[in-house]
Amino acid sequence: MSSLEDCVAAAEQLWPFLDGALPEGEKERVVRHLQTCVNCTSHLDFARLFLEAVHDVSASAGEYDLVRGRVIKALVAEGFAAPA
Amino acid sequence: MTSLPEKRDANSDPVESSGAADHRRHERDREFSDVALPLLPAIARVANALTRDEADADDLVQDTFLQAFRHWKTFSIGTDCKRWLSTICRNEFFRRRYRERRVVSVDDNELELLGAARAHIQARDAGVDDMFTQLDVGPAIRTAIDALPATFRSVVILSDIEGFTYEEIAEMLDIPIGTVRSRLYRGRRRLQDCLLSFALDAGISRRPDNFRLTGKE
Repeated sequence: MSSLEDCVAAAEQLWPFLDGALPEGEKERVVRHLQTCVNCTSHLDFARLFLEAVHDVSASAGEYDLVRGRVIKALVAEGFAAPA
Repeated sequence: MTSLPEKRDANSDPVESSGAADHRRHERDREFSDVALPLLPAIARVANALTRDEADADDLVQDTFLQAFRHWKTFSIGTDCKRWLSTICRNEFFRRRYRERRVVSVDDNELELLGAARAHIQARDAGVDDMFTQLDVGPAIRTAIDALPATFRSVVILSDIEGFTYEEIAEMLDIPIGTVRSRLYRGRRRLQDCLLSFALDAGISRRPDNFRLTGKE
């Protein structure tokens, strides 16, 4: 049975847990807690969806065209020939 | 007096050497185009995270790719090119002294209670905990990241978009791992706050219109 203290401790570790940044012992504690606590599992799911949504943010088309143009120009001066 | 024809060394046939060199240059340029250049947006984000200034970041991106091109033969095809370019970017950043004089952060121990769960509890209470499946949150996240203070934005971009570990970010930004964790935590909290506002503004709450936080419906 999960105690409130276990839930607080697990909740504090959810992001580092998902980031793969927890030491083995702490990771095992979080895993054990999640196996018995539906509430914290739902927090974990939400945290995972949030991180996936942030990760999916990508450059919009054309955002780096200016700097890309500068880089290509500088590379060409160094002898680079962009393949056709 | 008739001059003798120059001896030709079979190993240095100018026509053959020139052809081989052209072929090598062509291969190098093709590899660089296929492997390194597509990573320009990622390296631009790393550069932005390091310099926190768009103009400095553009200079840094250019220097990074020039250095990468000049030393392309040291890169092993099949290994992680993004990490290789990021290392060059970081080294260039420090070499060109873009680094600000920084006061060591004291925010390592300021992690707040309930961590990642807080936003979920708030979202659940507001009836918007399914926002990720109900809404296209990408534009809201992009806007929220752009609005983050530079110290938080750098860490969020390097971790959550570019996928670097806490250790790699600490090394890149020259800050302790605890500070990475703390800044990441705070940056994510701010992003979540923005997303909650976005979801509520978008009206996806499952609560009835006459829902009140206190009292009976």
